[in-house]
Amino acid sequence: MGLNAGYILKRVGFALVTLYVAITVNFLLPRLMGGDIADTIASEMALGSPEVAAALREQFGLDNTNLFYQYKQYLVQLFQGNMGVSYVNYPAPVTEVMLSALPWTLGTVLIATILSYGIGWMIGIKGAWKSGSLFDNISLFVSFFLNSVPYFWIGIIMIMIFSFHLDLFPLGKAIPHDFDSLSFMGKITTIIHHAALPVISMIIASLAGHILVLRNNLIRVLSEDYMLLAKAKGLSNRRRKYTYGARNALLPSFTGLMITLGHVIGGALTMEIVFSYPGVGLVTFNAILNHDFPLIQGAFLFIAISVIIANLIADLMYPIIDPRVALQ
Amino acid sequence: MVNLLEINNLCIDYDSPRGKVKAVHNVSFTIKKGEIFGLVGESGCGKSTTAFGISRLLRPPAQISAGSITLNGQELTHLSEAEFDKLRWSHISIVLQSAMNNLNPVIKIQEQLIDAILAHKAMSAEEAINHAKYLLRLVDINEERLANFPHELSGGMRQRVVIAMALALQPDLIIMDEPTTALDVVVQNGIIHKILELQKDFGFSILFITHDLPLMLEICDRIGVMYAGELVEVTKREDLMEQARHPYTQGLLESFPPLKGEKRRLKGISGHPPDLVTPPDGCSFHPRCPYAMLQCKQKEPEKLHDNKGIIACHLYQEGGHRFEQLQTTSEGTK
Amino acid sequence: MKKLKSILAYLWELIPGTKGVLGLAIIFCFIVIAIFGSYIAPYEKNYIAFEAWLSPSFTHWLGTDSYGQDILSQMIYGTQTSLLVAIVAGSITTCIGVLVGIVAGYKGGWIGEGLMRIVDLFLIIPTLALMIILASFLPSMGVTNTILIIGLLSWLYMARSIRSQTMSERESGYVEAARMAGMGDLEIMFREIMPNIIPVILANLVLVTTQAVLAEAGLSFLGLGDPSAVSWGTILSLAHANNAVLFNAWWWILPPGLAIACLCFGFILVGNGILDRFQANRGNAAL
Repeated sequence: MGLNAGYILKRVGFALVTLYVAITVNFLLPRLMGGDIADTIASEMALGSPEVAAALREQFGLDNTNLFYQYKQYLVQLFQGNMGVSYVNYPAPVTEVMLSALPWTLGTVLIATILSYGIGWMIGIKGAWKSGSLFDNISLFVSFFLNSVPYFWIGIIMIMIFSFHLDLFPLGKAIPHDFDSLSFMGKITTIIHHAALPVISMIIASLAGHILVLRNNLIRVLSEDYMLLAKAKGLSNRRRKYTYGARNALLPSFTGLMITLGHVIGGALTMEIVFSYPGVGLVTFNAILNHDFPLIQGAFLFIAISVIIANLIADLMYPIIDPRVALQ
Repeated sequence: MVNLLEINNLCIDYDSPRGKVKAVHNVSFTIKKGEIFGLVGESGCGKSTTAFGISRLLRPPAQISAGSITLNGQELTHLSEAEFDKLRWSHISIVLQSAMNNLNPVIKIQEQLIDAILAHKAMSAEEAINHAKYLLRLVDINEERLANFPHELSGGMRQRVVIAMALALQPDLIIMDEPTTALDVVVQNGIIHKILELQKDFGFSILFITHDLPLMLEICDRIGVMYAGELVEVTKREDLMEQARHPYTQGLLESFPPLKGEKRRLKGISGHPPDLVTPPDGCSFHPRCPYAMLQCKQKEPEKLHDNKGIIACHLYQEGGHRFEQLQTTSEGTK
Repeated sequence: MKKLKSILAYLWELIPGTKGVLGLAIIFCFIVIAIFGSYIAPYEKNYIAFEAWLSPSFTHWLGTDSYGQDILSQMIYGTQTSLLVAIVAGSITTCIGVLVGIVAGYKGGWIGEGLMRIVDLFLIIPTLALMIILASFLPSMGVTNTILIIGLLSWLYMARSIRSQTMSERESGYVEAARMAGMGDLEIMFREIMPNIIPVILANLVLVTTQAVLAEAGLSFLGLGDPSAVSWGTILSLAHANNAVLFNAWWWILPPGLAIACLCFGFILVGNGILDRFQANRGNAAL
């Protein structure tokens, strides 16, 4: 089913255009809001150092009122990895703050998404195979309920039960104070121990969407003629359910998965605040509280870039799973 | 010839919000070994439902509520799911309506051909693949196509693959539900000829379902006409070509251009098929029948068996206008 | 009046079955609470002179928070804000989504394709991230701004769904007939097609309304809500900021979350009922 060069080019092109749009939105929005942009990016007050502020202003072309010149300077700086200096973490550059936060977010979000997708897949398929059964109805109602609950509330409830009352997990943070003194295995164990509750909370919060989408898809697949033919062929239940049905139900949801990933990242932002988990969400939260504008912009860009890359990977993997796509 | 399939008083119902739908009502017919039997009728008349009932593919809530189906003398309606699964494909295989959707789009042809074989026969993978190659050759498709996905084949090729698949275990009966409807005429002809050729070579029986009566007259040995869930007439092909007996069959014939002879104006049958929840009293065809009499509205016509087949119409019942016609033909052959 | 009655009758037709009725009942309860909030609430809004951290009792059914406010009263006043944001933002979203969806679906060509390409682009960027950057650069956050931000940024997915529905309607006979009769594009789109996709529009309306409730809560929790307004989101946000978990003040944490969940659950039930009834194509929608 050789990967088709046109397809790859198209997907990469689309990702680049999306990236460009995200970067431009990031440039334009603050300016459209009508604030003093020089002050938001290079506030002398916040940075506490007029020299640094002046240097930043020059770098970003803020001493020039021409918007195009500013745009050009902004792009040039961005390509050099310069997103300005964070007020809160002065003198740390935004890029550095974000890069140290990103792995925590990506790690938990990816693991949570994969697990949640897998679990949702199993439950959705079980429900659709016997639609109308007790299991199906219960899973449907639980899904509706979970879809109605804010991510962070699930996080708070989980902390209340499992950390505060049962004392099974830490109350928050990604690593303990004495992290550096731990052995290698000790470090890994403690990281997992800290990440467990946020990840479980994210799984619970994002599960419902997967269940519902897969259930609807499989119900549609089950009405196809090839499913009837598979039954007429006398194939085993198992083979019809998984090889013939579940796989086809999975395919259309795969592109949907990426839209959900955006949702999950959005949810993860608030979840991290609940767990004081040092990822992009917590950084963003602190940036908002302290009006650290360069950091907010940086956070937006990092979130956008991560999602765009994840999307691109999914797009490129899609033809491997669905042979029909490669040909189009 | 020996009877392969015998269907007696088959009834298939399902519950709808408006009430019980009698999708198939008291249908009886037989298919002989090596025979091509056609079921014809307007859409919704129960012909496909009958076929699904025989092959136990009815989707809930539809279910067989009465009647018997025997294959080679074995009663099928009493079999458990597991027992029936053993009969599937090895004794009854099926080719479904639309060529496009018979094959799973994301599974290679080879896998779809051999999984049917492996589900029923102990065979090594290699033997199964060789058998799959042989099957493709039977329908004139290059064996390299085994490595293809369905969407890489044309519509006609796909349907030939499905026919090859139906032959995989040399079943006694192949049910073909409008196997050529979605294809254009030229491809359709090629496939019909292939089916006839294979049928001659292997001698399986076919239950052929279509709404295309002229096509049926070309290929079927005997033809059953269904209307509103009931089998109203069963006739040999030659007899039907000469003279259709049931007014509904006559109407059907007149709605297609004749195969031979002069052209004439086409006539459809006026009106619509009845609602199967509340079918009309008496003969269900009477509201549309040009010959309808008083008793047609009151009494369900009996199904009369004679040497020509089956006819359910008051015209042919004792005292009916054409009763004598029935008598003479019966006596003539006795 | 007669027309209103027939419209109401039609709407009642749309909402089917036990699920739909249950959903409607839930929404109705919240609307009643919101409208008569000031009469129902036991204490005045933002009255802070009670003792802090009181657990539920007969005088304070849901206890008090760290500021000494009666939580039940706050919850009731919060219903007003949360419901207002949900309904107004949901309506804005629906208007834009329907407009873009129908135009893109009916027009096709470069207008339709172009619109959808733009939608696809923005669909990838997480909406909450866009909301955050917009909200944090606004000079001040009031309820109006919250509504606008949520309403203006949430219509993308809906536009896609409406578009695909419109595209299948475009092929049907009545549109062809209208075109033959010389109807203009605008008239066909909004007089002919729109009434025929009402079930899909309603189901989407319901879905975006729940998303608006959740988005409001999320923004408030991130500190981007209106600091002076009381909403379920701000109550939760304050509870977390004041370490309600460590004080074991479950009465401060459970009610706002459950209220959000119940309201959204009601909306989802109604939407699901409508889709069930019309056997509409669900696409990838999680309903």
